[in-house]
Amino acid sequence: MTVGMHLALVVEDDRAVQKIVRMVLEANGFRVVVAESCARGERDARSQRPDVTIVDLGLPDRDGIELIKSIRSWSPAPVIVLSARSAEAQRLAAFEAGADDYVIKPFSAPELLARVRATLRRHVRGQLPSGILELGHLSIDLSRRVVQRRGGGEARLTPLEHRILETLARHRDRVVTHSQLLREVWGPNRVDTRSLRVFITTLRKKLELDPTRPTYIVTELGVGYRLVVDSPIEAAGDDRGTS
Amino acid sequence: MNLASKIDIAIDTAANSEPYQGNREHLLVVMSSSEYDLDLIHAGRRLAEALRAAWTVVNMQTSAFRLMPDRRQDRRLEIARIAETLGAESVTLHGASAAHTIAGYARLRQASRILVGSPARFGWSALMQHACTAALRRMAPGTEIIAIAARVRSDGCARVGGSTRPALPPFWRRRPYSGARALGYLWGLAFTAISTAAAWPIAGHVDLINIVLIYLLAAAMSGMLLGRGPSALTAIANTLAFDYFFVPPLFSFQVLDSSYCETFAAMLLVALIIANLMIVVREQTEVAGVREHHTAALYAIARDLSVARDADAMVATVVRHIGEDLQAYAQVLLCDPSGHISAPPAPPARDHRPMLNLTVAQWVAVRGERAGFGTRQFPGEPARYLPLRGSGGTIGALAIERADPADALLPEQQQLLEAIADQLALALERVRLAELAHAAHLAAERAALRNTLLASISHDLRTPLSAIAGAGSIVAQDDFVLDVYRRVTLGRLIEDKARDMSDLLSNVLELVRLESGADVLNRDWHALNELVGLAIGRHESRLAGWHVTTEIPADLPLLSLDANLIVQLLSNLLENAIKYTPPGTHIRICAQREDGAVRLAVEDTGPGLGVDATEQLFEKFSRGRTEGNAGGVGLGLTICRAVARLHGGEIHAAATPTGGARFEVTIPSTDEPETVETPSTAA
Repeated sequence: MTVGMHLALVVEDDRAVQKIVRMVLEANGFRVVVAESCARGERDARSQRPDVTIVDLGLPDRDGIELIKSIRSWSPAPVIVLSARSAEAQRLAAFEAGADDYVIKPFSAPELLARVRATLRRHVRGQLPSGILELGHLSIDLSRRVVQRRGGGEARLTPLEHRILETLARHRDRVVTHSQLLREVWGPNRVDTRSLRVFITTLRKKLELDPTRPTYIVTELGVGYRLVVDSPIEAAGDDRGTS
Repeated sequence: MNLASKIDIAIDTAANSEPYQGNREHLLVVMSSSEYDLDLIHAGRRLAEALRAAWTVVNMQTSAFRLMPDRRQDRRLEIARIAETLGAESVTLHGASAAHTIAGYARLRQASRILVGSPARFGWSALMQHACTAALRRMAPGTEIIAIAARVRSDGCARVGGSTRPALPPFWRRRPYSGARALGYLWGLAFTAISTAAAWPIAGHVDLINIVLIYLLAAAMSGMLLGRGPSALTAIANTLAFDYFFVPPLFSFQVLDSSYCETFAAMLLVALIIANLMIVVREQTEVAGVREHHTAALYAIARDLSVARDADAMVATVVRHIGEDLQAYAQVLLCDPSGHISAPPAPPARDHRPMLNLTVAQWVAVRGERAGFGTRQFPGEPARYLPLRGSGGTIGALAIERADPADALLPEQQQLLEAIADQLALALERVRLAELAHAAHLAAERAALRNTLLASISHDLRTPLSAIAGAGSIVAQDDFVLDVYRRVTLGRLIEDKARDMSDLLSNVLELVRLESGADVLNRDWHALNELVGLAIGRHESRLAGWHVTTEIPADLPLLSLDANLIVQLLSNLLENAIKYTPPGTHIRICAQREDGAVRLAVEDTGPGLGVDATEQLFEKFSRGRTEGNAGGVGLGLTICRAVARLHGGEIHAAATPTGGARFEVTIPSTDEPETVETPSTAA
């Protein structure tokens, strides 16, 4: 096997889904290991050290959420949930257990691939090098709290907007749950999401081309927000924005 | 011929004769004013058992009965109670003529046989009895009159069932009567004294006959107010006083004119008769009062039951009335659908309640017969249990216990109680039937809905499935040479159709969840434009051909909403716009504040709704236009309406001035969130 290839662990009990995910990933340069249960998945995760793990939640022996928690306890490698469970609470639980992304079945192959690549990119990239966040047509200097548009013009961020953006940037391309955001920005004892929404709105006005259809600070309904830094989806968003 | 053989003959005749009535025979046992009533009751029971007849013990109350000593009246009531424990119904009839009243009652109850006693001794009462029996034979033709002779006992008196309980006074004498008896006699003498004092001043001026009238007045009043004994004393004392004070020679019991003796006799007799009449009038008034009270009580219960809305209220009404009218604690035990009596909930705020024995209550419910205290079954129980008989069987039991355990129920009270139980049973059954009808209606509605749902879903699932299966089979065929374009087309088709099915399933599940009525809203504060953006984002690729504009005021406050559901609502409206308008159509999403609400509208410049009855669009499985296959199962707008209503709002469809479709959602906006807090520490 080529050393440069990413290894993906797919924990999924349905044969058809296994086959499709394997096909999609192998066609795009991944090596794939398939596990059919939580126990098997955990063993493979420890022995094979996958670069990305794709986990189904409804597994025969245990809930996939437990597998995510267990992997998270020792590995920073990204975990993507692939599940038919679509309720907010279930997604929230997965994100809080440490999932990096959540793809709802039925899924489309390109979407899954894009999500896998995005999480991997973010993971590989690591820390922001210079405190400058390049965001499509924007260049955000997090240390100076200034947003500069490529076409000219700039906007200043308030301290609070800055802290929200900084938090989102630290976890860029990954969902930050409401409670996490509140905790990191306002401190441990906050439960009110109303001010958060107000600040997200003002932040969007400063960053987004169309604040009602945001492309950078994306809402994950009922879960939290995600700062989309760069991805194939973002490229499509740029096209849309200019058309 | 002794009693046993008489009964045997009666039984024999009964067995050989055709039943009088097509249904169950009815036997009346008429208690006479004699001491062998108990024998009569036992004979009646044996005959009734042999005939498998229902039997009723008649306690006939004529004026003659009232002349009986209290002791004998009490015993008769006691015997009536014993008869009840033996399975008889007991009834008290009032009337001037015993034969006439009994014959009328026999007709009413369609009694085929009447059992009467035949006195063993000769005397006045025996003569009366024979006359009564003869009159009964005359007045009730077609009814068999069986006269039973009693055994004469050595002690001359039939002992009553070994009961050591003191006999109770009849209900119309329910007053501290015996304790005040001596006082009554004193009052009787006082009447004489008063009338003497009143007559004294006029003695010289008027004829003596007027004095007699004053004494008669006193006797009448004594009879009305004091009862039998004292009034008799008054009558005698009056005669003596008249002789002593007014008939010459004065102040002496001697009488010069012997014709005064006749006057005395007439005076005494008339005084006694008047007093007795007054007593009868008073008693009848009291009886009427008691009956009126019972009627009024029944009427009040019926009225209260008719306004009671549910079973609990009915039960409470009856418990209260029994407490008030019968001085008894009552509890209603209802059967569950499987026929089991369950332990009642904690009693209403009341210190006392019947000491319940659920086994007995269950027995009553199963057998439909009364049991417990004062009955043949489980007489040792402190409470009496009456079945609540509905048309389809026993629906429960009514348990009552008198406040004073020694205070047994009188026949009238038992009848009142049974009438109450019947009324309660009817009322409860009414409620139950109404509930059943409602449940049946709901079930039918649900079944109809399920059928529509199944038909709709199976159609809407099968159509994409056939496309998927077809496309899949082409792709899977290795001898089909497919160019890239065809392969991609087939793949798209499979993906799109699968997505349609998935959407349909989500819609159905979502609707089921929304209509479950449970607390499904997950409210939080949201900016409406964010949700609108998310809804548009869901249809990003499909909306490419449409011109979508949004007009959301920037100052719109945050709204407390279930974001997922509102996005779903908007997304459904957009989906409809995509489905029912041609590409190139303008879709406008706008929001407006109104006092206390936010009005959100999605309108298009398409061909319009195509229906007049816009409200029907929101019904399940309704599609705007029937022609063409726009896909979908007709649940989108139903979900929209469910979401709007869950938020306390409403959704309406209308035509725009240009003929397009406009869907308008009104959502009440609760108070604006309080001012946004700033972080405690500066950045």
